[in-house]
Amino acid sequence: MKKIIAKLTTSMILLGTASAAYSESLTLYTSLEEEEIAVYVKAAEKEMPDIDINVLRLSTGKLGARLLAEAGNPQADVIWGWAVTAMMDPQILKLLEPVKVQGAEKLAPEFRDAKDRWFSQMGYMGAFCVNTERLKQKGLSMPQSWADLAKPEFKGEVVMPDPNSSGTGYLHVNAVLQSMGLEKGWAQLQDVDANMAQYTSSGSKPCKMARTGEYVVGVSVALTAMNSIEDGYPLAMVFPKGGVGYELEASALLSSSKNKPAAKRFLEWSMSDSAISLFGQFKALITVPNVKQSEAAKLSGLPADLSTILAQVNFVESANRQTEIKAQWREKFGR
Amino acid sequence: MYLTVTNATKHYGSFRALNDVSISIEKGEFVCLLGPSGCGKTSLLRIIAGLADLDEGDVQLNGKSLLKISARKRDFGIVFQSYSLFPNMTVAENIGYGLKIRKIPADQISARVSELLDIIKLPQFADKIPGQLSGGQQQRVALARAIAVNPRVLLLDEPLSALDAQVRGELRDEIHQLQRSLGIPTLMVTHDQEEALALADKIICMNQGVVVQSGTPHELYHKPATRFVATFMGTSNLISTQKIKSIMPELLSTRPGGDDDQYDACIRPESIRIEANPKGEASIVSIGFLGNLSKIKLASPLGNLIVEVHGATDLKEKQKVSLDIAPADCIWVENDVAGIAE
Amino acid sequence: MSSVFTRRPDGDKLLTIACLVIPLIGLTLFFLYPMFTVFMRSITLADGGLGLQNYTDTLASSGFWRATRHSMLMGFTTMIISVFLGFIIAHGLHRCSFRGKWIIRSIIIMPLLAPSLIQALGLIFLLGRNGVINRVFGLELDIYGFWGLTLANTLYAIPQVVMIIGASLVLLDARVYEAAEMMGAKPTRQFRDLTLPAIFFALLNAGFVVFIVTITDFGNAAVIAGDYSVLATEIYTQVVGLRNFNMGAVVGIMLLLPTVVSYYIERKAMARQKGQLNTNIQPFVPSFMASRDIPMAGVCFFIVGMILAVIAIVIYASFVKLWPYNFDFTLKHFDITTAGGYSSLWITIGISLAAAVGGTLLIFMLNLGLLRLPAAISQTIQVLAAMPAAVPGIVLGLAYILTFNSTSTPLYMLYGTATLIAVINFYHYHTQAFLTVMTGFRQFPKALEEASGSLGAGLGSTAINVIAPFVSPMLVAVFFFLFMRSMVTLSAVVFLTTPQLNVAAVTIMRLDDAGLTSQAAAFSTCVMAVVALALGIMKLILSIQSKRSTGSA
Repeated sequence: MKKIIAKLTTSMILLGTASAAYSESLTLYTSLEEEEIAVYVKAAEKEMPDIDINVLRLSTGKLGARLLAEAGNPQADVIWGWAVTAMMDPQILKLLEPVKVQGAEKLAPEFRDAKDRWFSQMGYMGAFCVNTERLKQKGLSMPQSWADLAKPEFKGEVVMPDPNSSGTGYLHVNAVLQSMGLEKGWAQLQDVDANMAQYTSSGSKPCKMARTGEYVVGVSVALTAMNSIEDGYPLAMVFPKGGVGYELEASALLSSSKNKPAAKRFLEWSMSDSAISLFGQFKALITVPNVKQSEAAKLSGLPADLSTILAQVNFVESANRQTEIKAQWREKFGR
Repeated sequence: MYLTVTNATKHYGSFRALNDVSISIEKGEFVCLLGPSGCGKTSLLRIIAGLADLDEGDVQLNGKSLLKISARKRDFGIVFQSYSLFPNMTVAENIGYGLKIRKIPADQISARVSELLDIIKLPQFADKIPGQLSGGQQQRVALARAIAVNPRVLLLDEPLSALDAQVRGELRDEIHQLQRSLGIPTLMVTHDQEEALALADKIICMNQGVVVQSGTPHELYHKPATRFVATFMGTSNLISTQKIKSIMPELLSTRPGGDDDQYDACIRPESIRIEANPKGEASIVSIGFLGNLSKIKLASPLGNLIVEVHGATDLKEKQKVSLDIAPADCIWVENDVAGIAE
Repeated sequence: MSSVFTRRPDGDKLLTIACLVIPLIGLTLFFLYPMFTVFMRSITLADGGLGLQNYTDTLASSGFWRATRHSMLMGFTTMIISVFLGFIIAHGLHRCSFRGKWIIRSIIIMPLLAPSLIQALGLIFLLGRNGVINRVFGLELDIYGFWGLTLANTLYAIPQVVMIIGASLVLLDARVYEAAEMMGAKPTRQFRDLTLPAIFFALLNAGFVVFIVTITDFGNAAVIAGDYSVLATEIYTQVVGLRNFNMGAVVGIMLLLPTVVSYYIERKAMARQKGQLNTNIQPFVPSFMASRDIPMAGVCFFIVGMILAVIAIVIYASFVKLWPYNFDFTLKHFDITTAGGYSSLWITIGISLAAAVGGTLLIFMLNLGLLRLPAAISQTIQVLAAMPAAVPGIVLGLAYILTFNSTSTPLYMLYGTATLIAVINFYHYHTQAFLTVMTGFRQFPKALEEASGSLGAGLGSTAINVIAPFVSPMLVAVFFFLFMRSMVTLSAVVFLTTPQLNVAAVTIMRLDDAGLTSQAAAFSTCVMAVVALALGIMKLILSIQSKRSTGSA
């Protein structure tokens, strides 16, 4: 018994100081999906066995709030895979440290900050996840656009993320507003709101609810749709006519980091060819030139040339007016 | 006969609590069911109350079977050892509860309640809750509660056992007076022979699920039928026939026939007269002074004997004494297996 | 010679002091100080001054009011339904006669041994829009939101109601009912005149406990409430997501209010019960009554059937390939790599063991110290030791993050460590553990200790050789109680997990939040397996212990 207690005490002490014991310990804040994080981190740790990687996954909105709240006592080293519109918030930009990441220079200028504070090698697209079985059972026809979701027969069958907490939510709202214009856009969202069963806090959750047949349509992320189709769920991925919302996922180094060399190594790994090709297996969008489309993407019906379906998104505008739009949304649709 | 139980048998699993028991109670009679714990007396009381079922036999009141009548409708009163007052009701509410159930008008209830409170000498306690009362007071209230509805039979289940000696004596007398004045036929279960002797018109002595002997207290004390009754009812010196034969053959005159071990001699301690005698065959082992009497332990050829004499005694320990027992004081009791030798 | 004589009492004194001081420092540092901090924080303004600005700010926010309104409505509804259903079960168990009560008794404890969001998870599998019930019966029940949350919390709360009401039903004396029966009162009348007044405080107390548990627990809310915002999820979002500590502090203090009321009622009820405590209570043994017992048995089995069903379906769902489309057996969901994988399970087991070992030791020490204290001081300490139960887990969690995330004291070193989570688990359940062991100490015959002391044994050896064996069943029970609660608790620890350190219940919530329902189910199954194993070991140890003690007696 004494031995066990002794062991336990030591292990408690060890647990307590675990973060201090590793000289190369890295804390990443991210809004990537849990599934992809698991794969990426495994690969990264294999590549850099001396670095202990800890990840906190928060939805886009919550991550931003957390960064600001922690500004006095920052906990993270790296922001990894976070909506570029959120990153361009001047309050966030203040927290970042310019860093020359090897490989980032390959990116087109619109995919990186002029002052090297952030870069984005990938992005994700919004999509409708439609449960084909439930669709058939309800006798509905496949929705093709936001206007379709507003039809009365979809009442209570649509789920989408809350733009205040979810980057995906904002992506969709932003795409509707930018492609239709503010007035028409808000009217369209208002119409769909009547059919909306839930606003979730996570961006991928609507798709996951749709795939198990809880709802017919989940307004969500293309990545989750593709994975679900691959898993065998009776799901169809639909890109709404009139423009699909998309978002770039940016990474950056926090100036408060105490592990800058490790952080820089991680960021450089994320621009390495092996990492990029790994990301490509999950991502609909890779901004690095000349990267092939993944099998999963092809399988789920993603066109090779995405520009044909993407909405015209102005990221600077998206970033600048997001506070205002989110507040307006809360006013109109907050539950 | 007012209340009768005939050939009652009751099993709990394989344990036989009652075995072909028959008893009766006359109008106005106070009957005590006396016996050691586990003898079946409480089972019998609960069966009469209707709180337990009978396997075989019958319970009749005025010649009508009660078996199909639930406890609620028998109109019996009961008092338990543990007082069992309704903890959330006041004393007055407790006493009036049975009347309230019977939909008696409120003013009549309160009149009856105050009458009963006077009887039990607790008029100032009407609005107290049971938790604020002493054990004796609670039991008085329980008694008043039981008789409030003028029950056809009053059942008392060891009502005095939880009380301390002085309160027990007082309440015993009160129960006695109350029962006499109200004339309610009463059946009381007790394991205390003194209580039974003091209260009962008739004692029914039970052991191991059967009635061993029933009769007046006088009969049971002076004419115990078996060793069990003899030991249970007071102290007694039990001596085998063989010893009597060899040492005091004159006592055999009252003995019924039968084998040597069929009957034993029972001699009450107060029936043995002793005298200081240096040539006496018995010697004093110890003397216990109990105030009104002295209890003397003797070693004698008859074995160890207990003798009681009034008041203090001049005798000393280790002193030699002679014994004198009148043949009429030697009771011959059946040697039942259950009897406990000293 | 004399030195030997003088040393021993000194050693005893030292030991007594150590036994008191160490646990009391713990209570002060990890209970009183955090509670003080949360209070101070709630009245500390942005400019460092004191004032009620935080309260007015919080009360002015519409999101807070909406969540409060929802929580109140849901809490009251849950309270009424679960007290009603829990009362039926307690009444069925204690005052009705039917077979199979052991089944009810074993199922009724299950929710306490499972992560608190399991009801919601199970309900979605069962009653979700595409759940088993709706598919089989072709229904269109919509479980998300108010009713789903109410139902989930009701299933979670029923066992606690059954325990509270059952404890007071046990105290009812059979003889009192027989007296009423003899006086002509019908069973319905007996129920109205005797049972209801006697358990009134228990009903009230059960109601408050349920109310507090439901408004402060967010495991179920996070899973099934949909966008029906409640106070618990709102605080979680504000504090964990947005790091809005001021609002956390304000809400934490406000959540103490119903608890204080409930605590007061409980004390009152206990005092009342003490007044009623009879010399010898005759336990009530109900005899079979078809008109009462058959319907009661039916309802009881139906309710526990639901409790069992929601838990069983989670276990089942964790083994099927593609819920709800492909029910082939698979173990793939148990291959969890996302949300930190199984590491949190192992960490949680370690934390739970530490909380159990350390907690049991501290509780034993404290009780040992109290043994030698004057009654007045000892009672004050007892009140302090019984206080943590009055603080909901979510409030304690908030208090901890406010206290230990601040760099102003060296306690900051504990922030983000497994040790701190073990500590909060222990202090969260301090009261129940303390009272259990105290009961054991109360039963301990003082004469035994004196006998041991007169034989020349010091307090130390008396404690180890005489007292510890005597109270060992309670120590075993407390050890496993702390272990099992630490395994499944969510509300207190959720504020203390960090990217580096996660616990099982939080992982389950994260998995579900990411939509990985099957994996959340699989993880829940693993946690339940560990807890069930612990429960089994505890029962085994206790039965061996009781055999040994009856054998030697």
